[in-house]
Amino acid sequence: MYKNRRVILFFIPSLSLFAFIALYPFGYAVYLSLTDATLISPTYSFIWFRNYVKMFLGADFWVYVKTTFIYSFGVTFIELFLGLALALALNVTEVRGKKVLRSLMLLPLMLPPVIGTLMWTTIYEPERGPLNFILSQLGLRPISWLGRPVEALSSVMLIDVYLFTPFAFIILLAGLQGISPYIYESAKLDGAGSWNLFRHISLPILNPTLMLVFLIRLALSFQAFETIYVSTRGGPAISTMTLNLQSYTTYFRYYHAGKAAAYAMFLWIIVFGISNIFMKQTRRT
Amino acid sequence: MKKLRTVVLLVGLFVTVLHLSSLAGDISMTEEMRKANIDWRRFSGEKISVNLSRIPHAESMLELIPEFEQLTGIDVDFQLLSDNEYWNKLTLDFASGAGNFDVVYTNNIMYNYIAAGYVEPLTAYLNDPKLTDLEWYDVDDFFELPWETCVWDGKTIGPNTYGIGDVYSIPFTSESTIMAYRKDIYAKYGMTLPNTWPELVDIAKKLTRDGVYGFMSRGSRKFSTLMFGGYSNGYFAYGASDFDKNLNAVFNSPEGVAFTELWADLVRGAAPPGYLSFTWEDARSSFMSGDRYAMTIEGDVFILSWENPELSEVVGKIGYALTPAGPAGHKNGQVSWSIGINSKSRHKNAAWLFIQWATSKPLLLRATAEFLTFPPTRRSVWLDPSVVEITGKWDNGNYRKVFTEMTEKKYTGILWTVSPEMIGLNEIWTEAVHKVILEQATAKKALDTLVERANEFMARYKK
Repeated sequence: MYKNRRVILFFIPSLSLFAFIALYPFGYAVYLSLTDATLISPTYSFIWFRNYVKMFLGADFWVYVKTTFIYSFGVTFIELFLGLALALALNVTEVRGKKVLRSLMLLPLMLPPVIGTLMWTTIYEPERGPLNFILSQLGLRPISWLGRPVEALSSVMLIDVYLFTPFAFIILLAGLQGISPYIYESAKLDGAGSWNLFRHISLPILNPTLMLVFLIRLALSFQAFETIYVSTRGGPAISTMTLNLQSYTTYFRYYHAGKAAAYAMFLWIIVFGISNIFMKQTRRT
Repeated sequence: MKKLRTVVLLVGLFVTVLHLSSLAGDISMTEEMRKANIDWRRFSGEKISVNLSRIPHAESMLELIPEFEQLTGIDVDFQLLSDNEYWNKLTLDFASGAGNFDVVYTNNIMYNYIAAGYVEPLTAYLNDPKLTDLEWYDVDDFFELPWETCVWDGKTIGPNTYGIGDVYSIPFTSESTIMAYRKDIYAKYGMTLPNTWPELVDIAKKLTRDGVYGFMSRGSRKFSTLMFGGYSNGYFAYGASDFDKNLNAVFNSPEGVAFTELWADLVRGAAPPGYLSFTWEDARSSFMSGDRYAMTIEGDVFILSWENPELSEVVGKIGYALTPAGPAGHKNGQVSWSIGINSKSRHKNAAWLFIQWATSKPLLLRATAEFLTFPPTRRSVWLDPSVVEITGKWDNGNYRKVFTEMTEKKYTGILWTVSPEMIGLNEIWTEAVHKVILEQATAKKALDTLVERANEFMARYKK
């Protein structure tokens, strides 16, 4: 492909950096998952796939998988939908403060996830938080936002939606604004109503962008950490324990490095697989 | 320009006088320190890094650091981090062998650090007459249990296998789990103190009415929840254990199942809906604001807040008692906060001087009497008139009786099997109990599963 073979030499610095930063830790994690290493024992042995077998046979393993999928697909779809709705709304608005509004709506994305989650954890506080305070003022019973299974998972997903909907919003807004207004005008001349404009013009044109946002958010939400760790640490019981959280807990709390790596590897396979499926879909359209 | 110089000089003079005058009041403590027959200035010029999280004694140490620096000529780099941050950084410093932290705060349940060789055994330093004046330092002045739980040989795993081997950290405060109840609410409904755990649950459920909950404590998914939120006191009082002496998990014994069912009944019937997200901070502050809770089983260190008129709305209304006895007698979960030396430190001797200073009689007395580091680990501090005065006010002297009883009769201690896995095991145990409370599993089923998981944790230690 290259006329001059020596060009490859210029790739070596960045390739080495990539190898060191990405490939080496990854390889080490794969190796670790095949051992029984712990953070508190100086010795360990190679145990082949025993970590994986124990992981798959674990009583709660499929609960973690289910929770992970509910969380990831749940927040991704909600963020996509909400982001699109907000982008459409802002796109058609003729309001003066449009740019200001757009900046304000980006604010949650600027928050470091830890801070955002801490903020929401305080809001969700059962005794001293503003949400339950408002409920009590309205004469309603307080809700245990982070203390009951369904409520906890929903609350944690809400934090994710709050933090990352702006991402979908801003990208979809850019996509929408890239559509030439003349297309809409000529369609309107042909008698198209706003729903048809949306369904047959906006949506198809936005499709690649939608796919992109979906893929990015999906992949990232599988790795969601702060939103869960800072608020519930996977509790109550295991109602918010995703695979990523379980990997972290197994490593930093139980000190079982090998098993933690196994969870991380499994998660990687899932994310890799899903990304591949959707990338193929995108190439086809 | 001349006017500016004058102003600067005057300000400088003012600040110096202020500083000197503050030191003047502390000369007596430095004199106390000088009574020790050691050369405090032996390591003058060295620099040590003292790292703590936001624990009670930390604030007092922070204030008194300049005195240590004056006394020894050792430069102290003091770092105070938030709880989460501290443990993560400490684990990383240990695991990487970097040795950046010299003096480290651990507590007596971190047997994993001892097993991994991360903390330096201190017996040699204590016994070196050039480093320690044992007579002045007086190890016997410490209450037995807090001290003994910091002693371990690093390898003998089993129930109560602490107390043998080297001492790895020096405890400066020791917290026990006791019952605290609202005397006024109990009196209003004609309740007396329970004699058994079933009675405790019954009373708590009866008091859950009219906007009041009969029980509360920390309940979130964290290793410390079962240990210090009341569960362990009852579980071990029932005669149940976590492991037998052959290191087989026995959580699903009949006593274990029975108590777990009782505990779940207590939480479901008397605790607030948000219980499973309650942290110790929630427990501490909720108990002292308003009249929402009739009783809590929590760490006695919170009494400082509960009896502080500036913080608490219920000063003087709280009664303190031991949690009920069971077939195995009274049991109180206990944790001691302690400081030790990083085994990879490059300034171990200087670090030891700091620890000796920070846990000496005069300093610990000052820490308790002035900075309210509580509860104390030294008998002399507990019996000091100023401390007796402060603590004697609590529940009209009843708290002092409770403390004395549980200390002298040794109800408090490390109830859980001593092993490097203690923390992890308590977290999966909390997970299991959560499931029982949420009715996601019966007590028997949840504890059976726990036994399987716990046996895996312990597998490598079984012979």
